[in-house]
Amino acid sequence: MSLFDHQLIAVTGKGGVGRTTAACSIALAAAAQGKRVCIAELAGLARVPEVFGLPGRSYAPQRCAPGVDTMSLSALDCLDDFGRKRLKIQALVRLVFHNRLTAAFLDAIPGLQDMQQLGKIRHLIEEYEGDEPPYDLIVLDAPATGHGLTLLDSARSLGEMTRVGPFYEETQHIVRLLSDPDRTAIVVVTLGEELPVNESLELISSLGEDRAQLAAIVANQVRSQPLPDAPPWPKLRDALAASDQTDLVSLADAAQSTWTSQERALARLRTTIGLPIARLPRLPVVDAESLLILAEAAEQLEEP
Amino acid sequence: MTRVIVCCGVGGVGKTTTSAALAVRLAKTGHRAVVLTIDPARRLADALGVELGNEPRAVAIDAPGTLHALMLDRKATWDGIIHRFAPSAEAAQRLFDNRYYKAVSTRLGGSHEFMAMEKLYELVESERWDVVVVDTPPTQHALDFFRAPDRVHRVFDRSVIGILVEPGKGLFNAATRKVVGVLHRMAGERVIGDISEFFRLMSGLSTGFRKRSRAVADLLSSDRSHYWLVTSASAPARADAVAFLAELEERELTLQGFLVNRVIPDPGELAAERPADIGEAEWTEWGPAFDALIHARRSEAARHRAGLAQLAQSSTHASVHPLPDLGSGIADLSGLERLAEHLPDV
Ligand SMILES: Nc1ncnc2c1ncn2[C@@H]1O[C@H](COP(=O)(O)OP(=O)(O)O)[C@@H](O)[C@H]1O
Ligand SMILES: Nc1ncnc2c1ncn2[C@@H]1O[C@H](COP(=O)(O)OP(=O)(O)O)[C@@H](O)[C@H]1O
Ligand SMILES: [Mg+2]
Ligand SMILES: [Mg+2]
Repeated sequence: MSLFDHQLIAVTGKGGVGRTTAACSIALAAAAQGKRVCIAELAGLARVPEVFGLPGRSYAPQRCAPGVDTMSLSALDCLDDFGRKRLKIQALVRLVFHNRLTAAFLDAIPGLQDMQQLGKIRHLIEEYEGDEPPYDLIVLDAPATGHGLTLLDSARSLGEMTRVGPFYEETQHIVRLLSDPDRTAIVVVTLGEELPVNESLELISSLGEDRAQLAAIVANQVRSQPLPDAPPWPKLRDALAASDQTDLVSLADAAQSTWTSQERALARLRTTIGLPIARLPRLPVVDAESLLILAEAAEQLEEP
Repeated sequence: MTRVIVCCGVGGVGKTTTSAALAVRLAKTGHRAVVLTIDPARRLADALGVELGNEPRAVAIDAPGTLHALMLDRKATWDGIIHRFAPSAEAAQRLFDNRYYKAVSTRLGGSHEFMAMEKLYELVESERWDVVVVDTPPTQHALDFFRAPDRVHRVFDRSVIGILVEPGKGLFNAATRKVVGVLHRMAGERVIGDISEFFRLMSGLSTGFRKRSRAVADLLSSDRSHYWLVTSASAPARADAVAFLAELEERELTLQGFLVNRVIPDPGELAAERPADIGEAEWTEWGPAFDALIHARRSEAARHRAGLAQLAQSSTHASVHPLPDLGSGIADLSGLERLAEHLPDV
């Protein structure tokens, strides 16, 4: 099944590797194939509007590119939505959800904020109003994974803790959606360097049974080959050194060794995981314009 | 008196690496240094010998001072506090068995930062070190280190949680009772029961706990604590730095400086010339590749230089220290030693 045929793509990885950049690229790539896409980000992390040059974030969907919306999900807004669906008496909604007690409650129960945000995404996919869902695909710019702690774990633990009531029922719906490999795809973002690849492999092995949803890897900030293959570099290297161009030699050596270790790391990743890897090139800046280049690279995810 | 150096910054900039390198530098300059790491990559943890430990271990290093390292274990640190302040072993055990405590000690938002501060205080209290260097948890915003513990404090604020879990007590108006009723129904009585049991058990140790929190806060706002922002020379990093400076100011703390990581040095006037014993034909393959390489280097270095200049302008007092990109990652002590050579004396 093609990556873009899922209903939800959760883009994850260690902090700073380029989850936001990858999520935006994937969304643009899917839109280029005619999908109606929404990039959902958790409000605490909000950076998507900035990348697309929008003035600010909002809970209501904003158009950020042709066929692509973005929304910033704050837990309180999501809880408000949740309440509207579950509470019979609408007058209560304002009272309950605009109350400092409620904010404290959201802070106090581990996993509750995640659950509200995921619940909102699930509603866009499963409990939309009208005849058809507002989007074909939601791309989630998921939080950085600390040691294997995923959003799915968070929903499962909250389920364990509650066991009864509407929150519990929502966690069960969420877990069903997120653990269904036909509907949800996990994409892990990494850098083409030895240590980040090790960390990604650790992250992937910590997925356990959720490994089934892992659909692709994005290698971000990938460098292209700095020097041509032939004629052989060592011979030229000696000639350059002999003609006093040692600075050039060390620059070329460094570039060459960075690239070689990148290729080694990505090859190891590919053979260990056996999934398609998209390479997003390292660019001078990431903005609405240069993202189109990255989106094209992300389309290569389709080919194993 | 033990000094504290806190390395703040967003995830991925090299906080863990830089804080370890700072501790290396301190050891090299004759200090008894300890680094509290949060999330070292496996090989760095191996190199520091901390993969096991929530307690400091000595790192073998050739230096006039000493180097110790540890890795924060959030749950073990929570358990340590409970042991310390609980009136009896039995009371502690009852807390350990409480389902809500288990969730709080492993997953409560902000508790990672809260525990880092707690551990830091423990290290300072032991008086075994000249300097404690603290790596901070990976976050999206550098400010989270300061903000996150506020969340934990809000949770422990009885006036709010008390109402949530025991609305029967006290004089609450009908509206509040209604709100609490709805929240109870949504969350389910089981959680509410666990939370109120947790707070009942905690009340036995809350005086000690609160005093401790205050002492930690005092330490972090005293002039023994110094803050550094680990950042990069890229545009989004600069925006984050400005926000960070503003927040520190609001908290009446000062930033010592920016450690700008992975800066690309300028190749200068470098140009590729064909060596005499390489033929013209062969050179047509290589010449353009070298030119492209030098050009790419030069423009990346120029962007970084501009970034450094803007950082320097963002603050009147904070110093700016570029740290070179050492290529494909820093995985061992010798890598840390190389990075340490570029660090300022702190
Ligand atoms: N392919 C790329 N080329 C150049 N810069 C990149 C690339 N991907 C990400 N960056 C930059 O790296 C930083 C981190 O990227 P971001 O997508 O925000 O990561 P994350 O969401 O994982 O924290 C940003 O400054 C971003 O502009
Ligand atoms: N100056 C540097 N030169 C080369 N690689 C670096 C440098 N600083 C950090 N790294 C590498 O960058 C990656 C992230 O560093 P880390 O310290 O774990 O970041 P953080 O703690 O901010 O998430 C690691 O693989 C590390 O080896
Ligand atoms: Mg991001
Ligand atoms: Mg770190």
